[in-house]
Amino acid sequence: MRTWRIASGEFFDGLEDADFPVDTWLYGVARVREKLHAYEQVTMLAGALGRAEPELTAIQLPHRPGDRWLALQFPDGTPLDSDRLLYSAHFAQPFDKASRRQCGLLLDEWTEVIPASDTTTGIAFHYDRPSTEAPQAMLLVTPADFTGGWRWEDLVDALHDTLDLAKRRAVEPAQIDATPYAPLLPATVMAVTARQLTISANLALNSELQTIMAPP
Amino acid sequence: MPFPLITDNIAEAILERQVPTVTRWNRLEGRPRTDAFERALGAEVRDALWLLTRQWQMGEFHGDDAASPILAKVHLATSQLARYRAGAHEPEPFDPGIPLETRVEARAIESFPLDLRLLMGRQWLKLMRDIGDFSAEFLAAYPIEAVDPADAAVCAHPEAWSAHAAVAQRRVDGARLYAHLGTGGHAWDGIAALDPHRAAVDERATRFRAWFARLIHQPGAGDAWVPDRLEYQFACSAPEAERERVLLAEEYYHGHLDWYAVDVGADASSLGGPPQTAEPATDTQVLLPAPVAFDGMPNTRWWAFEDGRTNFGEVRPDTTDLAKLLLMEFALVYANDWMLIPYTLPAGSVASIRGIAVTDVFGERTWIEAAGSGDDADWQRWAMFLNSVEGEAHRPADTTLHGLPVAVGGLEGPAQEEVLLIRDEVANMVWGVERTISLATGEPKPGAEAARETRAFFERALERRLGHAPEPPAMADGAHIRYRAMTDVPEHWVPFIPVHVAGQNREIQLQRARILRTLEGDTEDPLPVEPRTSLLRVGLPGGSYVLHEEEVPRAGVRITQGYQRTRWRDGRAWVWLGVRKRAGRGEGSSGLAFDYLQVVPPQD
Repeated sequence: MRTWRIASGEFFDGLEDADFPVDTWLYGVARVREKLHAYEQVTMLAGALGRAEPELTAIQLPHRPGDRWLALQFPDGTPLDSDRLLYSAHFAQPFDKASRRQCGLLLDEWTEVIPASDTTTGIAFHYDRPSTEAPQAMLLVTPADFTGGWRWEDLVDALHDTLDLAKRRAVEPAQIDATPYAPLLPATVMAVTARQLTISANLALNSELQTIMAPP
Repeated sequence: MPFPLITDNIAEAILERQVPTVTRWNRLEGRPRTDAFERALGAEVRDALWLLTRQWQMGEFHGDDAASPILAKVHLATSQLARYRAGAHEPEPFDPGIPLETRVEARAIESFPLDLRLLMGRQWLKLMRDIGDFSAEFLAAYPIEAVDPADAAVCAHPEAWSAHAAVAQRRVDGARLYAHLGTGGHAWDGIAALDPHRAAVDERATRFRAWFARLIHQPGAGDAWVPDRLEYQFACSAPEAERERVLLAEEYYHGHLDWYAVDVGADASSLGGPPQTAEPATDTQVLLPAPVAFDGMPNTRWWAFEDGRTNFGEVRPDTTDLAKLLLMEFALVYANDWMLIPYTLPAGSVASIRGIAVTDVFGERTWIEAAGSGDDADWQRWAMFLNSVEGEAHRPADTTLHGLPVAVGGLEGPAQEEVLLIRDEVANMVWGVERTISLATGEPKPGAEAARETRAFFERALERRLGHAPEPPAMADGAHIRYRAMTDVPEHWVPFIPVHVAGQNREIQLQRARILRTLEGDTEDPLPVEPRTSLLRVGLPGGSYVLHEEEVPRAGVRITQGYQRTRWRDGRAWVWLGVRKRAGRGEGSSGLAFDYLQVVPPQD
């Protein structure tokens, strides 16, 4: 279980709003939150009609020694390094730690932001960077002759070769059609006979050849 | 279907040469191109060479005559806002300890509502508690007054009456004590029991007044609200070497102050008085630029996963959404070559970049010019976060960044007052409709309901005075029509009538007018209906209120006033009453007509 403690004197030390800080906080918040305005009215009417006024107890979690209440102006130099949960409650009965079951009404909740005294700005500029990128493949080059050392030209040629291969990898039949290689390339050829007399793969079957050739 | 040309017995067919045949060759040619892009965009992966091929096709191996920037040297001059001026008031020193919105927007509390009176009284009695229990004495001196049955503002509304009746004579009215202290009085005036504690009570009174001033911020003398324009006007300035840099907000009404609310003053070299000059603080830093990245930014590499949280591809702009198209094109096509240098500035400072030199990896240096520089009136010039120079003249554009110390987040309470200004072309006038009014208890209430209740209150009062229910004037025998001088208009509709601008016979202004509360059967002179919102009560009692005609467009305007609360850097909670203006909902018609005949059904 987290440690926590009901706010007491030290918690409010050094606050600018030293007189009844929890009241001051409530009066400020009640102007903008309707439900807390209703709670403020309850406090006022209870006093007017001779009942005990409900008093709020301020709790701040997680508790750190020497912490100050962050709901109002805090003393200079208060470290703001993490989020805090500020919890203000009216205990109709004194809080009983031993009892595991607690019962209450949640009236309102919201988040607040304490702005920093510095702002991070960005200076953006346009600069025409080269748009080249590192290759996506690893190239393992072995020397052509085992001479015990590398020759620079070998390495450069290996790179050029690889790039040439990469370009060839993209060759399409349409680009070969007009060249003398056209009858031979691509060499993905399959034997075929009309009456299946030899091992064959008749691609024309895909075009329903049989319906054309079948005797009527 | 079996293949019809199949040969059943191949061996026999070959041996007997039954079927003459020629072996032919089928060639399989892959066609990698197709009209459908889905598969290509899937960026399928194959062998290693294929990966390189794709990169080559995408131009990732294409050598550019360019180099990557590696260092950026920035020379910056910063100055702090030093003076502030609300509206046409005297300039004051700029206080960085208060959010600018609070300072600009805060309105004075015209009449203290009951809830404030009660909490002030409670705080005072608690302050006094360590001196002794003097609640009976203060209750006698400053009680919440008993309800006056003739007070329509309280007695017309059941909730206001019950709230007042519950605390009347039971609680201390802190606002009366506060007002008494404000006029130089002492809290112990007229309370003999406090005589031995006068010094202590005075000290508590000082604390009490300081406490309330901190609780709700009020503008004092310099209210920036301009009622005849329904806008805030303010200016602030920062000293520069030769002149004062003046920032003008001529029409601020948005509710949140941002960079676009202000313009740079052109000729005004000072907010008033001799210009305050000071050499701005300069700073030179060498920083590493990093590529700009944003959500949904396309990655330049072909095989790279992008964050799919923001998908610009799903933006479906219409043919007329030029701004959306421009944004998409910028984000998807031109986003790659932008570099960013982070720079931390104190909030509320005015920063101008005197120069940026960028060094690339080959040691070449490039001088960077501001994107928004040029002629300020050039309509093709475009830049974000830069303020235009006041006026239409051709001047060099201002490329300074003005960081205003504005509130971050904050809470906005329910509208205490809401006024809708609408044009009524039939009646040829403008109506200020009080849609929400603030009751005497401090609670907002719909204006129409309040108006009905108020009228009913006066009708009841009339009935009591007459001793019987008022009767409409009897009809003449056989008459079927009745002449009426004017139609009834709800009490929360405040008329504004066009009047000539003084000394001119063309331009008009809108002047607040009043409608008489005419009750059927009332023999006494009717009294005028007064507006109930402080937004429309400008100048009352006695004074007039004139509104510039151009401030009420055809669409109308909606003005709301409500409490706002925000936290500041020191943790202080600022609460203030601020006004915000929004567009209205078009024209309206009050049905107001004069001199007409009403058809009355024949009576038996």
